[in-house]
Order: sequence, then structure tokens, then C-alpha cells
Amino acid sequence: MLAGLALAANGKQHRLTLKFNTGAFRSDEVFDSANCPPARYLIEMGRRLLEIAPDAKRLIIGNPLLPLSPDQVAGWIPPALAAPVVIVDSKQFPLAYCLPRWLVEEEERFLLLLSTCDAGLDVRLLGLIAGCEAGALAVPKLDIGEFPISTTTGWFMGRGRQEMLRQCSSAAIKTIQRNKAWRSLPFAAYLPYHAGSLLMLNLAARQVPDGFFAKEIICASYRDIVDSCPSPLEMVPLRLPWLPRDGSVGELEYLTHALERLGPEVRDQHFFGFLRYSRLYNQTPFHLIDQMKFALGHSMRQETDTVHGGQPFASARADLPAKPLKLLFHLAGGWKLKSYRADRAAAMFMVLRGMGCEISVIDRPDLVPYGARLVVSDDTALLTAEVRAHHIFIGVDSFPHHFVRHALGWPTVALFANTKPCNSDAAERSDYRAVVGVLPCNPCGAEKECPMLGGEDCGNFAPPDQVVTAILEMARAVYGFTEGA
Amino acid sequence: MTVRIMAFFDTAYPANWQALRQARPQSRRYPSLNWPSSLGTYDTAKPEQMAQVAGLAAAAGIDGFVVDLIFEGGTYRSGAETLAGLCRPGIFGLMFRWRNDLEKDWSPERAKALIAALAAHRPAFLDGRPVLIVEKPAALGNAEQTVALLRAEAAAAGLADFYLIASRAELPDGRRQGFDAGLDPDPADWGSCPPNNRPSGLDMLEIQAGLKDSVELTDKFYPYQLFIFSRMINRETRGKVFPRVFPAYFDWASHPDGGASVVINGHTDSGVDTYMFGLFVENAIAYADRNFPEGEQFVFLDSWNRWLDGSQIEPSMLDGDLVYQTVKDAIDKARFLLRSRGKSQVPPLDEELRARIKQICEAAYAAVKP
Repeated sequence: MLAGLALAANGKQHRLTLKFNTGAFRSDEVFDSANCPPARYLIEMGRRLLEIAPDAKRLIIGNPLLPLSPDQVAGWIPPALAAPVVIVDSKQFPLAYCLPRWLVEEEERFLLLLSTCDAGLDVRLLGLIAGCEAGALAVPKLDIGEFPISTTTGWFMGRGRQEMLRQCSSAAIKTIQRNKAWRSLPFAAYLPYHAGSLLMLNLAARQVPDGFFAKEIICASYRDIVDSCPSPLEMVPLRLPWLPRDGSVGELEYLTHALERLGPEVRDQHFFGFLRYSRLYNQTPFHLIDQMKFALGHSMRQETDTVHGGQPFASARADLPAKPLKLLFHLAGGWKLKSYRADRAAAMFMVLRGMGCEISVIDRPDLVPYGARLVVSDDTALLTAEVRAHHIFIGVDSFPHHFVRHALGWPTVALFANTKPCNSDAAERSDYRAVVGVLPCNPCGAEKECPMLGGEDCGNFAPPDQVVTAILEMARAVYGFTEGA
Repeated sequence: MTVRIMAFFDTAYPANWQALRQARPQSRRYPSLNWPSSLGTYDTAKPEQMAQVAGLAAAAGIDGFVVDLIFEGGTYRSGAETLAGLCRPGIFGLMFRWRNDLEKDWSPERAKALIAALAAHRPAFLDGRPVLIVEKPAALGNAEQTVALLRAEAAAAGLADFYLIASRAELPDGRRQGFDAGLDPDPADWGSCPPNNRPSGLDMLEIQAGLKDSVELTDKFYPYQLFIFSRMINRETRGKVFPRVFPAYFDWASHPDGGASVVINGHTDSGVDTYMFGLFVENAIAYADRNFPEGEQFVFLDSWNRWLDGSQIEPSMLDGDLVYQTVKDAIDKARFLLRSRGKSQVPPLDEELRARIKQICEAAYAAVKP
């Protein structure tokens, strides 16, 4: 929950509490996005306070990381000053921000750079943005202590994450100090090394034309994704390999290298917005595209703002005769538990081939003995060519599925297991179907081994007959296919 | 119409507050019973207090309560008269559970009285439909005859669209007996996974020697996660059986001499672990939406206020409103997904072809299985 307070010149107070939206879109709720820094919520609270108190002179906004009430915040009101003040605990952890109205109204994007975990940095940053000395006001008897890795309110913010936010704030301070014209410098979204996230970001950016960001920092090897799924955000290529999946390089270490690698000409000419996870992305019912939209600046106040409230980004069909039905499978997710079992896939292939279907499979040589043609899709151009040569794509929760559906608009049967479909699926249509079980352990968040039963397989994948049924239903509806005897 | 969420509601308050106050655990392994906070120790006969209760339930997205019909003093009583007056068609309504398990000497002559007691609450029926859950179908003797009799009495009483649910895990038999659907039995009636306490011979000797807590021998302790996992896996094969979701369950207060079922979810020093419970609710709603026909999509929440078995979701002294809020959030999430994703727009394959595909896939799987 978030707390804020608007103070009018006559001393009148307007208090506001916002809870994280879980799908009801109530007026006292704020959209839940994992892909933005905590300071994004501070901006949202500022917007809401100005709506309910248009005559406000100052706003006091609780640190979004803390479960505060407006009554608590009201107990910390600093003396009337025009300058911004950070209210801090006994160890300099920021508790709340007292901001002059104009700062929220006219310079809100710079608030995105606040660390929310280091009062020293935030006081300096606010002072530079406001052009005056910012202050700190201590609440001596309160000590927040070590902020935990995850909290009951859904924050995912261990020491490493906090340090990443500090680095982005520090970089912003240096950028301001080195540039007289800093107010006109662009913001770049830092989300370099996850193909799926990049895709979602680019799709989201198309729907947020007036957002905070003008650029995006992307691993140079992902240029093909940007080419295939362009975005209004200008790409700033990062010449570093992706973050290894084996954990040998931490995200903090990667950020340090990335800032170094970008060089002073990029570092000093941009502000960096941290768009990796700050919250648990799979605790919300919202699509990652919607979570990105909020991160980019959209307030996401109504259900119609969400990706499923509108039309699909793309829609296309194979220009092929209905028979033989050509099916392209992608059954290997990045994690063991996201991959469809070989024996079940084999059974599925045998049945489909018996019905006259032709099967191709991406990156699973173990399935070739069961009559599948092996396909390699190293980049999006190759993947696109293969998709266009098939009627239906059937894929697990991984980049190819998201790309095929959201960028190409191809008929798709999605196979989810230990991740929640709602974070990356599409609306049910004749050419899109998400197939998944209903085990209450979903989403477990595990990667290598099932936490319930052990082993490398997830029991929440739909069995072969349900997948075959979904494929045939779609083939009939979209292509007029009729199966053999 | 979306999936309806119905919560079991105990009308025996204030009497049961006294029972709750007096309940004392006989073992250190029993989780503590809880005590109400914001709603207080209400009286189910008082309209202003019941309005608060029903209002809080409706605010969480709960569509109504399930109240018990119990044979007492020659008639069936529900204790829901005050609550019934607060119900509003299409917004909040009641369903009923016939506690035939408490009625050892039931005879067909009572069918008319049972249906009359149900019919007395007609204005409060959820969506105008009379729904009766039979708590223990196995105790009916000739279930087919009893069901036919109840239906005949319901028709005679002018109860159109009478809907009869059997509290049982699998429906194929129940359908033959004339039930419309099934409902997962409560955890004491159906341990969906093996208990995790399996006393050895030595344990038994130590218990007999007075060296060990006897509950190891007399009671069943279940891990919550595995328990609910077992209830949801391969559920489609069980027929039209509505899910029953619960945050925890421990009925030691009604088993002072042992024999309790204890489904532990958290409860060490941090109260109920709401994470898995929330997912249980969300996934159960998704299941009901996907697998049951329009108008028959129900999820049963056990319970709103069964404080004596620890399953209550009402705000409490030990858990605050964490469990209540978990239910509210889970319902919000699930309904948002149902609204925003929409229904499949593809005509389904016919039943025969689906069955054939299932058969062929199973045969193919048997052929390739390592």
C-alpha cells in the first residue's frame, strides 16, 4: 500500500492511500507492475494527489517500498519550506519525500531517478533537480533495518537490487553535474538482456507515445528483435553478451559493466531508468506488456488500458493449402520445468502424424526420431520464415511463442505449465489458445526441479490429448482442416 | 454470469463463541484456534451485525453463503432467517447444506419438512435457484430413491430448477443416483493425500508408556501443499465436481478424544501461509470456468466463519485481515482474467472425437514411454 498527503496553502490536508490493483481497477488502487523502479509509484501517487487536491502546494509521499499510512506520513510533515525534503529513518533510509508541487507537476520524469533506498543520493538528486538545497529530516526513533529480498507487499528488492537503483541514481547525478542542458537529455530504458522482456517493452512503447523514455539500452546481439518488432524507442546498442543463465554473473555486476561499456559519451548524455524487476512479476494478473506500459509512464487506470482491452498487435495466416496441416513446435523453454516432456511430445507427434500432419520442431533433436523435422531458429528472421511455412505454431512460455503471437500474429497454441499464462498470453480467439492445468502450485517460480514432487517435469502441462484437441479445433476453425480417419 | 463463489457459513453464533472460548488443545501439535477481530463476536440473529458480515463478504467478491439445515426438535432449522432478509437477487444469496450426517434416524417422511425448510428461504436463493448440498450421500441408504423423493417434494413445493449437489469427490455414481453435481468433501471426509504422520511400532509403545503425545497415533496430519495439489491434479477425470477451497483445517476442538484431521498451512510463528491458499482459490475459479457449463460454475470456500475448525477467512486477532484479503485479491485476479481473456471462440470437437483422441494419445504414450 502507498500513502500520500497533499498540503494546501491554507494548511488543509488531503490524505490518500493506494493499494496494489489485483484486477478490479478500483479508484483507490494503483496498477501493479514489476518492471519499474519503486520511484515510478511515487510519481503515480503524485499524479493522484494533484487530482484530488488541485490547490496543493506541497506533497508528502511515502516511500513506495514501505507499507505506510497517510496518518503516519502526516506525523512527519516538515516545516513549511519551498525546498524538497527527504524524511529519513535513524540510518538514512528514506521514509517519505516532501516535494513542492511544481516538481511533481513539471518535472515528474526526474523523480523516476530517485533510488528510494539511499537518502543521501536522493537529497543530492532532488537538490539538483529543484535547483536549490534539499534537506533531510530524521525520524530518530524509527530504524527500518535491512530491507528484505521480498516483502508481503510484493517488493523484490534485496541488497543487489538496491545497489542497482543506487547506481542509476548516481549516474543521473553525474550526468546533471556534467551537462548544463541536462533537462533536455533523453531517458533510456535499461532492460538489455532478456529477449522476451525486450519484445514486451517494444510492444508497450508503441502504446505510450508520451512516456518518460526516448531510448532503450539493448544487447547488440538483440538487434534482430528490434528490427522485427520495432519500437518508437531508439536503440542504444550495448556491446556485451547476454547475462548468462547459469548465474555466474549477477545483475548488479552486469549493470556495472554495462555502464562502463556504454562509455562516457552515452553515460553523460542519458538518464537510465531501471526496468528490470523490482516486484514479483508473477504475483499480479497483468500482462508483461501492461506492466511495461506502466513503467513507461501510462497510469493504467482502466481495464480498457490493458493489452486484452484492445485489438491484437498483429494478425496473419498461412497462405498454404489446408492439407497437409503443417505444425511448428517449440517445446524447449529456457528452464527445465518450462520444457514439454519428450515422451509426451513423442506421443503427440505420433497421433498428429497419423492424422496426416507434418511436424517441425525447434531446437529439440531428441524428438526427431518421432517423425519431426528439426528446425534451428537462431534469429527472428529464421524463426519468421519457418513460422510462415507452417499453419500453426505450438509453443511453451518462451520468446518464440511471444514473438510469433504478438509480433507476427500467427495462429498459436500456447503451452503453459509452471508460469502463469496471464503474464504473457493473448486473448482467447479462434487463432489463439492457451492450454494449461489448474494445479494450485502454479506459478511455483522453480526452474530446475518441481518443488512438489521433485523431477524435471511440470505436472501442470496439458496432456497430449488436450494439446492435440486444441490444435485440431484451431485448424478446423482457421483453415477449414479436417483430420484423416 | 461469472464463476460464483459461495462460502460455508455457520449460523450457530453466539453459541459457538462460547465453544471457541472454551476449546483447549490436547496436543502441542495442534495449531491455535483464532479469535475474531474487526467483526467482533456477532450474533447471527441481529440484522445490523449480519449486514456488516454480509457486506464484508460481498466486498471480497463472495456471492453468498452456504448454511446448514439441521434436524432439531422435530423440524429443520437453518438459523439463517436474519441473513436471508439481507440477500439481494443477483448480488448475494444463499445455498443450503443438509447435514444428514448428523441425522441418524432419517426417514423418507421427513423429506417434505426438509424441502419446506428450504422453500421458506425462497427469496434468498442465489440467482433464484434452490440449491441443496447433501453432506453425506453414502448415509442416505437408497440414495436414488431419496434423491427422487426430494425432487418430487421440491416440485410439489413449486421449487423450479431444484439443484442437488452431493458432497463427494467423484461424480459418475452420483449422476446415476440423480445428483446434478458433486462437491469436494471437507478435509476430514476426504484426505486427498496420505497423512505425513506414520507412527512406528516404537512410537506406539512410547505413547502407551506415556512418553509421547498420543495424537501421533490417533490423529491425521497433512501437509497443506500436497493436500491441495492432490485435490486439483487430473480433476477433469472426476466429473462435474465443484472445488472446495480452504486456507487451513484442524478440527481438534470437535475431537477431544483424538481422531482429528489437521491440514497445516504455515502456523508455526507466522499464522496462515496465504500464498498457496490464494493460488488455490485462483486456480479453482479458472477450473470452474473452463470445465462447467454456464450457470453451474461454482467454487465453494470453506469457510467464512467456521472458527472451530480453523478454516475461517473472517478477520482475526492472529492473522488480521491477511486471509480475507488473500481471498479478495484471488477473486479479483481470477475474475479479471476471465473477463479480459474471454471465452474460446472455437467450436469444440464433438465428445466422441475427443474421447477417441484421448484413447489414441494414451495408446501412443504407452508405446513411447520409457
